[in-house]
Amino acid sequence: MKKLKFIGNPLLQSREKINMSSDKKWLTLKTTEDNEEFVVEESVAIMSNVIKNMVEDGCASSVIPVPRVKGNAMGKIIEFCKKHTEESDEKVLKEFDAEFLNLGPDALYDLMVSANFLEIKVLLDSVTTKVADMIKGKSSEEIRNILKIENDLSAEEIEESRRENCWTRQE
Amino acid sequence: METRKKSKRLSKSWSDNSQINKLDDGCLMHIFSFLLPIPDRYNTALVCHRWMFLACHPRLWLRVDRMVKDLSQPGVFPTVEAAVSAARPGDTILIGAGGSHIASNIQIKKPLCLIGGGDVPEETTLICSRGSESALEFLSTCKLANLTVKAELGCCLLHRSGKLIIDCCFLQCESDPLDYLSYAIISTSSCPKVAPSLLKCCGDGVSVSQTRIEGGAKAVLTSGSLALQRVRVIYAQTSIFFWFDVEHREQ
Repeated sequence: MKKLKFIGNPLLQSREKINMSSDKKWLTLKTTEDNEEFVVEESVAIMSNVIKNMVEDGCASSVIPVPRVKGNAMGKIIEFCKKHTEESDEKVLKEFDAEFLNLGPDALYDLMVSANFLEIKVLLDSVTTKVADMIKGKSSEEIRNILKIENDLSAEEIEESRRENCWTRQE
Repeated sequence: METRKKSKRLSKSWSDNSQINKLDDGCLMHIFSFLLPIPDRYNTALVCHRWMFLACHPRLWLRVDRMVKDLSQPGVFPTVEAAVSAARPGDTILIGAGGSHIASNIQIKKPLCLIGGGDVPEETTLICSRGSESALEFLSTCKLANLTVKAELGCCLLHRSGKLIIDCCFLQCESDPLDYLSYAIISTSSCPKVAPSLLKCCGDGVSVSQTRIEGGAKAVLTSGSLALQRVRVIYAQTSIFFWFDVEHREQ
């Protein structure tokens, strides 16, 4: 049985009621990986450039299939887009973003890949800033420890890299 | 200072945890573009092979393209001067090949690397017109590679401070009745008067390798305390290549 998630007015129970009772346009996005469906306002969905282009080209009549994005990531993305379309106060949005991005690294990366795929610049930049902050000001050893990356460079390669970039060092 | 480590072949379980490396190249480069070149992007280049490749990738460089129509395109600039202003310390600027770029008294006060986009230095030209003292004026450690710099009456490169590295370039002073007034490189850098044992700490200087220099009164004029050292010349079929350093005279 397909799971149907209503993002919008939680009081409405069926799709027919949504289509008839409001003059806002609604779209159905379906994540093809796990077959979850999301009903969203068009104004929220077009924060994604990919969906915006589909709507403008007239391909968005029925269900829009969204590959490569998982259901839970899609839910979070819609929550983010909804907040950003409703709220215009910078300060409130900043606080929302900080709270929203308080996720573990895996969830952050999933969100980044999905935002990149759906071309949602605001979300992509927010997540990227958060990840970049994890790297800023750290030495390469610390970066490897925090992000759990294996060091596959030999001492010679590290030395060569330093030499290539040595013009930046006042020595 | 980082300690150097030999490569360790760690057990498979570590690589399973490296979720960040599951991001595609585009996403990782996007993250790196948010980092300052010095020191953060430089440190990321020392993390692992993949990051070394991506952090130094030309896609993260600024570009100078004289023909660019859409000025809102990020990272592309119509003039060298615009790119230098917008660059962050440590950035690399790729100057488009073909045609000539105007470079008049462009002051560079932050560490930058300027690279010519052609296959040979002659394909990317910076021209300093009459009336300008120099094409490029350096007040910081910088690197030039694969570029041609032409000066009419002024000098090609004016070195004030920092370490200037010139690799595979072509410096040409236009031949002119008054060309005795122009020099390829002028260095006004002066080391402060310190005890001889501390002289090595003066890092200012100019280091030239595999560079053609033509025209002008002399290749290098120093009005500070630096002097020409270790000059080597190779006479190729059609041109002469120089290698030399301009630094504090060794006692």
